[in-house]
Amino acid sequence: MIHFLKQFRALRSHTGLTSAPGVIAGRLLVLILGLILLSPVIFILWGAATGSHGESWPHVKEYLLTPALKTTAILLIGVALVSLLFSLPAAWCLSNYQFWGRRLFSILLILPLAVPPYIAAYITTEARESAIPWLVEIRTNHGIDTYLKAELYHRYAWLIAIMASVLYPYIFLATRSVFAHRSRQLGQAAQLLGAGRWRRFRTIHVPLVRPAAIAGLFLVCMEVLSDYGAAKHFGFNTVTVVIFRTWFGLDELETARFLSGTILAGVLVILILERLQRGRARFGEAHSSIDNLQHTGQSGTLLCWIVCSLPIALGFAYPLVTLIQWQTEHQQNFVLSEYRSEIIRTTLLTLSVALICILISLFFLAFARFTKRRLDQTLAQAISSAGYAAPSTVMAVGVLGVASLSRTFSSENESLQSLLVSGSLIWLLFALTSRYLAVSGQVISAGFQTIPTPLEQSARILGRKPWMVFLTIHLPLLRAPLIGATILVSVDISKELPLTLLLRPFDFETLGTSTYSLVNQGHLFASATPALILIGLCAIGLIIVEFLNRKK
Amino acid sequence: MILARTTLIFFLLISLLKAAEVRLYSERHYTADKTILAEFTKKTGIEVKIVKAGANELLARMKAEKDAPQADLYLSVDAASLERASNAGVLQKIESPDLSSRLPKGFGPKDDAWLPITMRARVIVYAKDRVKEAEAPKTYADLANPQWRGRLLIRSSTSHYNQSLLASIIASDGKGKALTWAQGVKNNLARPPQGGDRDQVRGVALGQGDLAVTNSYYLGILENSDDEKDRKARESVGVIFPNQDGRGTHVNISGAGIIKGTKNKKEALALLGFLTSPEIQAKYQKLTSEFGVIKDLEREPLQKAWGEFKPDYQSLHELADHQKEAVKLFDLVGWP
Repeated sequence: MIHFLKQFRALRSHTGLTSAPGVIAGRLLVLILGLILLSPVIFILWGAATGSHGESWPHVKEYLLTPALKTTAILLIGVALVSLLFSLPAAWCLSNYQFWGRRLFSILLILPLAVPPYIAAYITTEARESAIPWLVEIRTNHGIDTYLKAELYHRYAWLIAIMASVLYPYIFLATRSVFAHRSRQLGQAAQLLGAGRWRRFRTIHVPLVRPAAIAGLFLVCMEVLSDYGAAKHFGFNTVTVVIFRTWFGLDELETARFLSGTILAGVLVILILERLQRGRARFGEAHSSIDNLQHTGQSGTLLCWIVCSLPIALGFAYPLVTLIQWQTEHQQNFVLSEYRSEIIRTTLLTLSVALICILISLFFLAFARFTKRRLDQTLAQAISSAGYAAPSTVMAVGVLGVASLSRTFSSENESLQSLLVSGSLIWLLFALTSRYLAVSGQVISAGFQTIPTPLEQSARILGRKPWMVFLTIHLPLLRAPLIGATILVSVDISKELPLTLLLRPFDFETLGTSTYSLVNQGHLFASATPALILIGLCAIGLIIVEFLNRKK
Repeated sequence: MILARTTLIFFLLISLLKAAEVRLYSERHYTADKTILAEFTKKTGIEVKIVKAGANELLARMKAEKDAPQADLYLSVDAASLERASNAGVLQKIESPDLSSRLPKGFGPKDDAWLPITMRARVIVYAKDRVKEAEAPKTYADLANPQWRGRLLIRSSTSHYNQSLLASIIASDGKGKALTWAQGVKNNLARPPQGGDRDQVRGVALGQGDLAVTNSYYLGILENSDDEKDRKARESVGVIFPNQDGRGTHVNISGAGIIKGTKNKKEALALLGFLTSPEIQAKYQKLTSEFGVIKDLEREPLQKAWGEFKPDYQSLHELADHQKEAVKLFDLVGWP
């Protein structure tokens, strides 16, 4: 027994990082980096915790909060369910069946990610207006109360459908590879052993796909929770809308901060609970070939087609066709060069933030991987997720606060001061990094999970230093997730609005801000040009990711 | 150290080379502004730099930058927002007798905290085919009349335009009457508020409601639109300037304030002078259908067709005082 323990310790010392000074230094660095990255969030939470909420809090609680919570819950549940419905069956079809058009679908299914939710929301204007005669008929025939109900359901249905249709790819991307590899192999094994369909589904596929589905679902829910443009355009008072009403309408930043601080804390608790409940279960992924796909018959092909094309039609084809229609019918010509500076700015801004995000995520995750401590993993995840959980505009206030603080601390150094003025690009980069670290973190963390631990254990036992293992084993194996993370972060940032709008330097227009300001002044048709370029660029990026993944 | 010094010299060089400029925080998203500002640069050689965002966001940024102001001018589309910026201590007095002499007496703010540039009226439109002109509401109070149950379209109370409208009612009629009014209007809504002013007019054209409330210049935008549906929507509605027998139609101001601590006050004043020159005021009327604010300015033909009206200047400078109260009243009656 003692002998065994000794052996175990020896093995552990070769596989985990146990040299105490290194671990402590690394952990310290993680903490310092985390502290810097989370400073805007801390600034908000600190303000919420120390200052009392403003005098309007009872008013907000009594008149605004309950209905807003209800609306938000309906939207969250609705969008979550519909996006699961859009993503899971499609991911299942693509990874289990061979049917005509399968490869094309696997690219097209990601493309809705290229459409910003607020643009998707504006695009429905005409379609929703076409239902007005029908609603008017209900009013004349069934009275005003039935009409109001129908009107409400009609709006909920549109918003949930349109948001789910542009957000489901987060879940699709996360779950596809799980279905394609592990879950299919184990499923086949279970089938050979005589397990029925339902049993295989319940005991193999659901638990295996759960972590990935929840990771994707988290991104979807955060997008819905922090959305302002789409919900407001549809006339829904969500919690985020209430936060802004408290801040802007009632002029009480402290109450708004208190509200967002509470929501942020709630999101973090949910995240931690999910992690605890998942327990220590880890699902390593074996590499498998995808050549033994099941061929479908005619009806099977048809079914696969329906399952795959519905989300694409709603989330990509519909916005694209509408925009092209606006463009060709109402704009004289499509002048790409008119938007040259916007294109360059968007590309440079998004790629540089993506690069920073990836470097930081790599450091956090690689460190957690080597120490093999749950503490480090939780820390890495908490730091990455917290920025994503705060509503953008409130986050911007945090960043402005930190900017002001940093100027106070650097008051003796003039050149540093001129770098730290608000409106300097540094703060925009900082804010975007702090917020979108969650995306690169999720993708790279999933990538790390696909690397079998025996590989690095062998290398460590053979005497390789951790950083050598990282450079020679992890990095090459992470190539696809890294490129994936770069593009996903870039796509997300080019769709982002509140932070860019609020923190950008003078005369700094991106494709997103141009689209927004045109829509905002009522030039729906003119907004088609920048919107189309934006969607086009994002789509190209996503297609590149898809091809790179295939090569692997 | 060398790096720091080089950076310092670099920044000094840049500041020497920099042409005269004026930096704007603007809530105005209109394409016309781009044309007008380009004209200013051409005429004076002063570069205009701009950050566009919502009034509240910009106010937050100005407050956070108090120690190191980045912009010279703040442009807003709501008198209450300008007043709030002034109350927050981020604006300085304009103090230019030349500029204030261009405005009608009693029109600008008492303390010269900001300068009006354009004006818009909040009007009522009605479906010409379903509502007779004689029956159409003549005052804002009429909008709360139960005869319009399920027939009125108006945008969300998050809009500054509606907050200022209710603030003007609080200012002239008191809180109690304002509450009753808001409740009445809420009961008459044909649908929960959604979209902008223009969507309300389109809603009337499509038959979802018979009345709508909109800012006057949206009617101009619809009339000049390249979309046939917009032009038809405009054609199908009649326009009423409310409260003509009483205190006048509620008007709001798009204006500008000079930010405290700016290094470019001279250039900022030059821009304000340019924007309130007769030529540019006429241009605003033509391009955006907003009303110019200076004395003796002739209205555009499109605006003349709406008819002459009496504006409510009285409550204009009390809007900010009642804005918070207005928001609370909206919440009380459940007008989202």
